[in-house]
Amino acid sequence: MESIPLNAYLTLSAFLFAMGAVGVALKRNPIVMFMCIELMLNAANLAFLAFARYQPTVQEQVAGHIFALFVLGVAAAEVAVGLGIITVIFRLRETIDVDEVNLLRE
Amino acid sequence: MPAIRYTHGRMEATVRPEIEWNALLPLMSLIATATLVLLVEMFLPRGRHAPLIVIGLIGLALAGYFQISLWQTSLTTFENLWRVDTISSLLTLAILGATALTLLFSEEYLQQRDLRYGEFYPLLLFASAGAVIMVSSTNLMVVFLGLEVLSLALYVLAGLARYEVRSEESALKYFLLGAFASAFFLYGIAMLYGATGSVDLMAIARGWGNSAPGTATSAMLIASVALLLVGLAFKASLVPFHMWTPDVYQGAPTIATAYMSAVVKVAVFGVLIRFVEGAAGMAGLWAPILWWLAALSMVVGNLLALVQRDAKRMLAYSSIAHAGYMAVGLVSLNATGLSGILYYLVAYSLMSVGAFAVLTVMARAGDATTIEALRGLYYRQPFAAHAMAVLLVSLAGIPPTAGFWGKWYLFVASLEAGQVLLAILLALTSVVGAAYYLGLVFALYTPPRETVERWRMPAPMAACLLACVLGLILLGLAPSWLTAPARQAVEASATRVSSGLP
Repeated sequence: MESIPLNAYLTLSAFLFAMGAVGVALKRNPIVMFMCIELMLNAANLAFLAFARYQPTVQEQVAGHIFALFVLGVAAAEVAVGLGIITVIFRLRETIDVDEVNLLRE
Repeated sequence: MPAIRYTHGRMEATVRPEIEWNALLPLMSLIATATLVLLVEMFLPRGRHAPLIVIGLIGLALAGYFQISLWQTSLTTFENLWRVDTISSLLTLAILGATALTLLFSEEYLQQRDLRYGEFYPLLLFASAGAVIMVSSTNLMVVFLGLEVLSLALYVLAGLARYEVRSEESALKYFLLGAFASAFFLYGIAMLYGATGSVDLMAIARGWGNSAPGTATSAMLIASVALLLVGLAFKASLVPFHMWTPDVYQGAPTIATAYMSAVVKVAVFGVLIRFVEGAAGMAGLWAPILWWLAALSMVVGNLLALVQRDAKRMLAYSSIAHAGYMAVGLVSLNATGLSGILYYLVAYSLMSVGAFAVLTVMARAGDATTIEALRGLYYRQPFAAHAMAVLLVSLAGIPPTAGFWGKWYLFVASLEAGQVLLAILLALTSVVGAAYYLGLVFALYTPPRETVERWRMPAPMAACLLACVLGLILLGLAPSWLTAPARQAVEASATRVSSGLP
């Protein structure tokens, strides 16, 4: 089987990252914005794993794999905190749209 | 028992690497304290937090004792994942100190605002553990985990007042933009890993030295440095990545604002110091960007602070300006500049925690922190007003306070580095800054329109304010007491980096 070249992974990863970044800038629903951030984290994970495949030594390969695992853990912790905050805001305001939740301007 | 270790593609059994547990004692005692506080909190009746504060302060003192006993040692352990040197010791002590000060004045605010959540204390201690992790490593995996431990605790602290939309709004903004910044930081680490096979900041120097210009490796290194800088600039609230700062600082409970304004700055600038050391060889690429970030932060932060009517929001813009001053030290990239940042971070922690601590007394009057509401604070609470006057004078950078010396060292550093324009900007924007700080001092001593009642000053808060004021005056009278070790630390670190040691 032909193996997929590193460039293909990196292009996909950069595309996912850019899509996530643009999504955070354009979307107004915090849940969708957060999904876009998750996309960016996963883009980084894809890059880590793709790079790991091409490292010369096992020690260097393992560094990328371990990093990806830690990122998964961190992303899960962020979901817990982020959805908690969004739930509290919905209870208080019945809306979570970031344009409508905007008291902090003078 | 021999541990299995992978090297160069084959498995070999080697002896377990030597671990210097001493180097981890400060962090371990901090985490143990936080866990203990969390457990004890469950068994206490609601709203009784005095034992938590006592345990917290003892734990912080213990961590501080272990860190001081590591003073002047320089070592790495855990396969270069953990680094102890004077830079990390100084910054750790600053973080522990800022946490202890926050513990002292928080209870009064929690009671007055009816936020009887004991979770505040363990979250504060866990956040400090994250900050300590960030400044004690050059390995970006460890730094990233520390950053997340710090940030996740802070998102919750910002949203502590959960029946108040403003607090939740600030938590949401902080969370979304913080996670966004973390993603940039993370992608920068991925690029560094791709270019060098390592996630250590010191690998930037090695990778850049080994890569020919125009190759994929050098392109990835440039992308990596740019992304890391964006992520860190977000966290340090440098213009144009500062948008979240005023909203978060204003909306979060004042005690959380006091804490994050000091500790996040210390942790992020700690990482930035290591970053500029590792990437010194590429300074031609990032220094111009950082130049603009510093200049814009000083100008925008100070000008927008001038027109604020809310003291919390004003101090938020002032914190952006102070981040700009410290970035001047990064751009100068010399021993004076980097040790100046270390001095500035300690001074800024005292000023910032103290200033927000004074604002917490307004919790008695509906937590209104507008400059109008603060008018005549002297007639309600003379001691708080006097303390605030000293803190604001120091923030403005007027001698003989520590704030003056901090700015002076950064000014000298930028002149030494030939950055004359940046030095002029620093001096000019400091003058603009003095206008709004002194305007606030003036408001504190203006007689109020109607007669006001005297407020009691709780003893722990008085102790906190006294510590901040005395610390600033002592550091102002004898700055070399701090700058001498800071300079030694920076020079030792630079020698180590240039000779390629971990």
